[in-house]
Amino acid sequence: MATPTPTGPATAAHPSRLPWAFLAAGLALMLGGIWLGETARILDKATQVCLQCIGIG
Amino acid sequence: MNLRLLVQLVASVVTNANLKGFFTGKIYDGVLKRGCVPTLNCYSCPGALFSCPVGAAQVTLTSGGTAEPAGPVPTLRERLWNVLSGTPWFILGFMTVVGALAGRATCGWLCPFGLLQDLLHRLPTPKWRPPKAMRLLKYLCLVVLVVLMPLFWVDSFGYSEPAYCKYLCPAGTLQGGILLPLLNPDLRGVLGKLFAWKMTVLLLFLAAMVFVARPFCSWACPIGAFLAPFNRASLLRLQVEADRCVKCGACRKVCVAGLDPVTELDSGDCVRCLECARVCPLHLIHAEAPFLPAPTRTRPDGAQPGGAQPGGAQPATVSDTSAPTADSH
Repeated sequence: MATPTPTGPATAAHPSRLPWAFLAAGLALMLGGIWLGETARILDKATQVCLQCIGIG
Repeated sequence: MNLRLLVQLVASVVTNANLKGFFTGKIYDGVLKRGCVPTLNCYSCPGALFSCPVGAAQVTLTSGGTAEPAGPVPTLRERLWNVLSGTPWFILGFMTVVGALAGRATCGWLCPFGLLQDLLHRLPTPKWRPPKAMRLLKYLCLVVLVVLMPLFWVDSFGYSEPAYCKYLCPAGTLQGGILLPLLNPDLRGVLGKLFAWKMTVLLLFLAAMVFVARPFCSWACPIGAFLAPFNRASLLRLQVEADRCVKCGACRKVCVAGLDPVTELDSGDCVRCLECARVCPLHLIHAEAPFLPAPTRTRPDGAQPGGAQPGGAQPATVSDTSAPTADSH
């Protein structure tokens, strides 16, 4: 029988709480952005053609 | 047709479902553009229904804060409000949520520009694996072109520009820069040196896509750069049972990011396409996440993949890039 050759850390090293913390932080940032009116400003810009962005101007 | 290709096609169509725009040359201006897609998709494309996170982040940075100073000198409160309201919190939060859920899986499964790269790379030509150091360029693009230049490269009138979109983004050229002048004769008259530069960048990337696996994702995509660190800290995790790997090299051949999945499974350049898992003859690569069904395959020794073995020991898995291999395929 071939001897197993571990080449990396075991699954137990998975930082299982970190993704949840990022998820919570991300949701909080999204709500903050909405509260500050960011989505309305995005809409305002994104509904006009950005000529510079597409290489015109 | 495999599942991923189907998902990529559907995502590309849904993202650009304003079909009317392709005939009228006018972009969509409805409420959906308040939100972003988690992929690179120019919102100046006639078909785009949503905003591009890179474009949206830059216009938020370039437009600054929303406070109107009451006097000739802004007060401390007004300055603070300008910093708060001039930072793209919503975009940062949205991309953080995307990364925390699945790392770069949106690059591999949803991005229209990723689909284009995958399709062009299928052309039967010699392939080239560039030096890994070139992958660092995308972080430079994110920091310099997306953040620093829109913030600090200000003209004499106090205005700054969305530098990444203006000087580099080939997706914007392909989706908006070519289509809009074609559909709007008035725009053809104002095409100049900038358009020539952007077309050159686009053509260089298109040519590179034929020979190199996902060159734009690897070298120049700021979304990929932002999501890359999340590959090590997302709910979606990939695992390989390295102790049973027979080093056949099948996974390496199909990797759309040009990686060696056995040793680089959690690399920031992995786009979570799962092609490696699909072709592994021994089914040694698994995707695990709370929102996915638990793996049901059973190893010959009775242990569950990625779980504890009968003796209580953890299986050998690879989850970072530092792990050396016995050979190099």
